[in-house]
Amino acid sequence: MIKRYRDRTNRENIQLGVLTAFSAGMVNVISVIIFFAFTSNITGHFAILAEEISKGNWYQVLVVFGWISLFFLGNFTANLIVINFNKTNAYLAHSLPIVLEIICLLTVGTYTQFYYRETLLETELMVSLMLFAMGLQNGLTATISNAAVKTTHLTGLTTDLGILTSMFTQKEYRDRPELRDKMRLLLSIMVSYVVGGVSAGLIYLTINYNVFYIVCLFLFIVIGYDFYRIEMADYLAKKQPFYRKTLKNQAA
Amino acid sequence: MKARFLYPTVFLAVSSMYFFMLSLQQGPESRIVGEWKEVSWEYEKVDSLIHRGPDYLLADHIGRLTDHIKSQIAKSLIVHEAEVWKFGTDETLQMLGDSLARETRWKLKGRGNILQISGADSQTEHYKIQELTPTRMVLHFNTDMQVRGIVKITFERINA
Repeated sequence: MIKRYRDRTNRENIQLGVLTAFSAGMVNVISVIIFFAFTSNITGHFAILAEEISKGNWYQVLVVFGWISLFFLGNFTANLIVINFNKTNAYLAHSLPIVLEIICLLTVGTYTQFYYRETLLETELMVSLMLFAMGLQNGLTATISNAAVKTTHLTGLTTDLGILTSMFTQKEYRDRPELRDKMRLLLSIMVSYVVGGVSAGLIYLTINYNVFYIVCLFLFIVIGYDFYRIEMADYLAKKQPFYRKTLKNQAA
Repeated sequence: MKARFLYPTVFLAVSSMYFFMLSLQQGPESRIVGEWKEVSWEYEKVDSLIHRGPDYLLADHIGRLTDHIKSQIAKSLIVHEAEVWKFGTDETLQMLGDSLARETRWKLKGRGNILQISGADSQTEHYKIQELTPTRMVLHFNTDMQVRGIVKITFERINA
C-alpha cells in the first residue's frame, strides 16, 4: 500500500486512499465537534485568515497563520523524509510520516481524554497538532502516489470528479481504462472520507475521545499491511523453495 | 547560502517573529473578562420580513426584537432574562437580571471565536463571537426560527 513509490497499481492507491481518507474524515469531524475548528482542510482557514485580517483581529490572524503553517510543515516533513530515506529503506521512509501522525493523534487523544481543561491555549495547540498530522498524511499520500491520492480535503477531488464525469459523457473517454481507474479511486476516497466523518460523529456520542484511538488503528493498518506483506514475502522466500523460485522468475 | 543553512535560518527567523508578535497580542480570553450589558437582540433577516403584515409586530423598525419575542426565543436558554453578563477570570459567568442572579461557566473554543456557556444540568450552549472590541461585543446564535436566521446579541462594556 505504501511501500511502492513508482509503478503503483490503482488497487494500491485505492487501498491507501480509502484508509487515509477515512481517518482524515474522522479527524476533521471530531475536531469540529470538540475544538470547533477544521483540521483536515486548509482552504477554509485561508478564507478565515483573510476575514480576520479584514476585521483587524490580529491575535486570530496569528493563530490561523500558525495553523496553516503547521499544515505546510507537515507536508514539508513528510516529503523530506521520503526523499531522504527512500533509497536506503523505502518502507521506513514511507511509514515514518504515518508513525509521526499516529504519535500526534495519540497525543491529542490522550491529552484530551485525561488532561484537557478546555482552555483556549490547549484548544489551539490540539488543533495545531492535528493540522500537522493531517499535513503529514496529505504530504505522504500525495508524494508516494505522484499526487494521485490526496485524502485530507476534497476540493481538488470534487473538481477532478466533475471533470471526469463530464468526460464520461463521451464514449471515447468512458472506454479508457486509466480514466475509469481514476474515477474508481476518486469515488472511493470521497465515500471513505464521508463515511469516516459520519462514523466519527456517531461513535463520538458513545465513546467520546476514544475516537482518536480508532483513527490510529486505521493508520496502523496502513503501515502494518505492508509490513506484513514484506515480512511474509521474506518468510516465504526463505522457507519455500518453490515460492523463492517463483519470486526469482518474477524478478527476472 | 546553502539550503542546509538557509532552511533552518528562515524557519528560526519566521518562528521567532511569529512568537514575538503573538506575545504582543492580547488574547480573546483576557479581552472578554469584565462586565457586559445587553444592548439589543436582533434577527439577522428581520428587514426582509418587516413589511409583510403580521410579522411587522415581531420587531420594530430597526430590526430589534421586542421583549416578548426575545423572551420566547430565550426561554429555554441559559442566558434567559440575563441583562448583565459578568465574565470572571476564573471562567465563571455571572448573569444578572431584574429577578435573576445565575452563575454559569464560560470557555472559548476554536480560535477564540466560539463562546461556550455551561449551565446547570450539563446544559451547554455555544455562541459565535462576531465582534469583540474593548467596548463592544456581538454574539450570534442560531434559533429554531431558522426562517429569520441567526439572532445577534449586542453588548456594551460596563466594567473591565
